[in-house]
Amino acid sequence: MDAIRRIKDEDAILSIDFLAGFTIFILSLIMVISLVPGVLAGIQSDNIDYDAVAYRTSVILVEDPGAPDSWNYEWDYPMIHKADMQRLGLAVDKETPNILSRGKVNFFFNLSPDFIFSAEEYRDKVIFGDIPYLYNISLKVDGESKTYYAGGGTEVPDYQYGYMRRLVKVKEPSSAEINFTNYPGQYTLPLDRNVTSITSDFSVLFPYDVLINKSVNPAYRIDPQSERVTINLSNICSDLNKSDLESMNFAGIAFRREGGGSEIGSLVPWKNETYSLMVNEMPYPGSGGEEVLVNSTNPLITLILYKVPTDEVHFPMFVNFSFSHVFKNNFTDHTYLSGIHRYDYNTSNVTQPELKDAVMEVAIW
Amino acid sequence: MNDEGQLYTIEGITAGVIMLVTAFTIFNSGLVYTPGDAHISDMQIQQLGYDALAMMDTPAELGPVKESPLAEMIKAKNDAGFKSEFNRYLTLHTGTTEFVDSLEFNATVFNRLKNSGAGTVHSYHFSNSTMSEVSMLTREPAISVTRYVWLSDRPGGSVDSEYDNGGQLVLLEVLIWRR
Amino acid sequence: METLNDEGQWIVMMGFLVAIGMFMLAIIVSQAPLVGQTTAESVIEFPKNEVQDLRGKLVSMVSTSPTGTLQERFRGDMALLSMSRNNAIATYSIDGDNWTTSGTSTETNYIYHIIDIHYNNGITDYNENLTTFQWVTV
Repeated sequence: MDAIRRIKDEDAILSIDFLAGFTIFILSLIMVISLVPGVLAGIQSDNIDYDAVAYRTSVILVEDPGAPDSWNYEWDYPMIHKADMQRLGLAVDKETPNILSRGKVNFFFNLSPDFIFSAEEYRDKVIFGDIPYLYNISLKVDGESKTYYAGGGTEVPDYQYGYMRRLVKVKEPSSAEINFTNYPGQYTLPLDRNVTSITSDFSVLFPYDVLINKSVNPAYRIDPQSERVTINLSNICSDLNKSDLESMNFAGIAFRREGGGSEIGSLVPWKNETYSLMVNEMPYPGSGGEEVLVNSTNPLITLILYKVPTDEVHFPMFVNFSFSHVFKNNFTDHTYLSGIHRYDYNTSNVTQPELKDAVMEVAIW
Repeated sequence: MNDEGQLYTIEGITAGVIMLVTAFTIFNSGLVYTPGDAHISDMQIQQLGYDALAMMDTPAELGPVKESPLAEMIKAKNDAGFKSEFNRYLTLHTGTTEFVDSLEFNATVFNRLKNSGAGTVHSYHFSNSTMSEVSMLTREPAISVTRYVWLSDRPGGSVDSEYDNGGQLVLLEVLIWRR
Repeated sequence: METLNDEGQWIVMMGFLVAIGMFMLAIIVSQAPLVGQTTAESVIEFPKNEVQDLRGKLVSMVSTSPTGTLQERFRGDMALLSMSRNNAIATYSIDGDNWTTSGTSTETNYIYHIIDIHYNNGITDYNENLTTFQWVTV
């Protein structure tokens, strides 16, 4: 038999038994270590807090004017501008939470035919978050029978969902309802009997220095830069002597600056996207259109100015409605229509912006 | 060669078993506790109440009379008007979800009496909903919402111990709870 | 009696150490959820509406061009009522210390007033330096 050398501890020999045991230990240690992150992951709740998302969405809609905060894109290729919108907030101004702008409400709820938001866009610009939430956003305005729903929404489910109800007021834009029977003697001028025809302008003046008054609460401010202004002319001949008038025609409109009377470039009448001119609710071109007989029919002339560009609000603006009068004979002195109507905060001139109660409900699941 | 019985393998297996059993015990035992959110309905009531008071405190138009409807109600001590108006706001809904009318409220006005120095706070009950007294035995918590209201003058018929003379700021505090 | 080779007990000891380590981790982790605050609680706690109300009242008061007595009244009312009912300090100063009819600066048609608002309800501290406009017909 060979002499067997005693194995000492510093001999580099590992028994198979040791290796086997150590390997088993290491393998199970690796398994356990890979399970440890699962302990921490358990702290994240499985339940998504839908109520928090609904609350946040309602705050963005109701208290935030949005980014950009003035989105009157009713003209000039509206769909292109959708990508610029980062956040859809409906408030008039950041100083007026819970007061919504009518223009923004119309866009958001897809009430404007050219401007449609898809479900993806609502998720990106209002609801945010990585999860594709289902939503139902609705608005009901006092006095309007229809409830408005955000496009792409779905019916509220039977199971639990996050919910928030907010009370708001919707700011309706101002308008000038110029019914000439209410302004007797104010907008007529005399004409010598021998002059048998005359073309005159009836102007509506926008005195921006008075209108854009920073001390007026934005909830009540008339701001042509961010909301529409409407002019309605009715009963145009009521103050004139109809029997004296052979014919009176409406020929068109022009936008002019004060004093110099130069035309405002961006509002040139033929570019009929910046405003909408209607006679008896039918579209009518700003200039070059067929003349409308005013004295025998009694048309309603409506001008909606969607947005005045910011560069234009430094000088008062005149909107001139031009009328041509032809008189029958020269037996009596004539009167013709002319005058300047101020679009300002005077309630007898302009129907002021009105705040209507409304309720908004946001459901997320 | 050492041929004595060594227990490395068994020790390795034992150690492994100990670790794995511990790991599975811990992960299966539901140690992580996520408390349920019991305050969601409180948050909703609070926001609704604030919104209702804010809307009542906003005049519908920029008129010569700058006083809000709420201020006029307080000045006239119109508790019935406040009750119906506040109730109307609380029950406004769009019809999207099933609406349950379950809120009761109780409104108190706090105002300052100058006397001398900083002054003292005087309060009086202003208005409440119809079933508020009966439903005060509810288990639900009451949420307090407040609003400052500017009065152009003290309510008519007030005496000096109730109200100082002249325009002042008062605090309207409304407690709202579910029946 | 011959003893068994007991050198391998290191391995079992390591096994026990890992198990104990996991128990400690589990105990620490189980404390965490109890420390947090739910979303609804933090919404209720933040005085969003009180601050909005305060700012709104101040801005509308300034635009009505109040007299000194009105100022005194407003400030005193706000401070006392806010402290007694909302447990919050609500103070402000206009144009430095006192209201001045000429404001901090002027421009055509406007007098600027700088309002310094301070609100603190113990949890939330809100400070703002606000510029308001008072319309003056030239």
